[in-house]
Amino acid sequence: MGLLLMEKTAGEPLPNDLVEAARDGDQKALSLLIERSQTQLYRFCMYLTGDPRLSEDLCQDTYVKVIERLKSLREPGDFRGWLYRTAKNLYIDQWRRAKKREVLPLDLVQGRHGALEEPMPDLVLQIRSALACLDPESQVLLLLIDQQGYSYREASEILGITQAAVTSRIYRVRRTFWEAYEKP
Amino acid sequence: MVDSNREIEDRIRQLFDAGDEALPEPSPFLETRILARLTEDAHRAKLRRWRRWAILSPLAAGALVLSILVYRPAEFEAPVNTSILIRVEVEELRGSAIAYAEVELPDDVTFYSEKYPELTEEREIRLAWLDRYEEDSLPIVVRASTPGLKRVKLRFLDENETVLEERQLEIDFRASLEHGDSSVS
Repeated sequence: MGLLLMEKTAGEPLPNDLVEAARDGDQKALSLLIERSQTQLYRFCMYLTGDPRLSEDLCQDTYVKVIERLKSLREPGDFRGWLYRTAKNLYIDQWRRAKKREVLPLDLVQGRHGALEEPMPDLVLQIRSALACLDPESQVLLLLIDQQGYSYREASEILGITQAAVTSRIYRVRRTFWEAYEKP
Repeated sequence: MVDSNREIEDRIRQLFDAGDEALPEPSPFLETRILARLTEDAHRAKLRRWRRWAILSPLAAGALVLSILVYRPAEFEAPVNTSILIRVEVEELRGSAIAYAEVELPDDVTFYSEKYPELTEEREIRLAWLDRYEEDSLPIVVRASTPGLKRVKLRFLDENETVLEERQLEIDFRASLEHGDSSVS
């Protein structure tokens, strides 16, 4: 199968024929689709949650939700955007539920699963700590554009806001994040 | 201290590049977990459908039996091209506020009346409900031009045209039966 020979290049658009094959029920294509997109999605979730297990749960929920509705996807090129939009919505839902229950913020529960887990690298902890100064929507906006490499237009589609709103927000978000990151 | 927006953007992107390198890889079992969850969800959905079916099918069967018991129409045999007299038993309707009776014929079945030959053209007639139906039956004469199972619909209405009772007579018109006037009731 030609699709299997493609190299794993995270961040690049997923080939339309792969998405179409997965949509048509091809299990091999579905596995490959997950394999080719999971690292990037996992990183995105890691920055959001700061916890490997929560990130994997968020990734899993995202894939399940998207794949179960894959047949309704008309444009295969929209798959990646759909994936991130779903992850964003699930994350914000979780965040709101957690806030309502007044549990600890996700970044503060990191490492609660015991010593068997590898400690998070300092750099990631610092990034996560700076991200925590932003509201969830702004975290997602920053990650989509500066970590995932989406254009303002693509980010606006994923977030469901206008491109003008993205342009005006991103500068403020970047500055807030950077100031928080640079704080000793 | 960084001043320009462009500079901040570049630094943030570099920071995320470095962060990406430092981040652990997702578990090698993540893909398996996702596929297993999809399979499990599919099984659950199938189970839910079966449960729904298991709950609804006895109800549906019960409803079917009930509808057969309640609405099972009378069935008669009659010859084609022959005037047949139908006597609809109305004894049980006596005392109810019936003002009219409507009779609706299927295709290829016509009313027959020597006195009112124009009735042949009608598909549906309305009869004033008279106390003179002393024999406790409503007489109608019909004639079928083709064989087959035909359904004659009867509706009994009150003065406000509210349907009080509906009946359906199934008559199996057969070409092979002997011709001649006959009656069903």
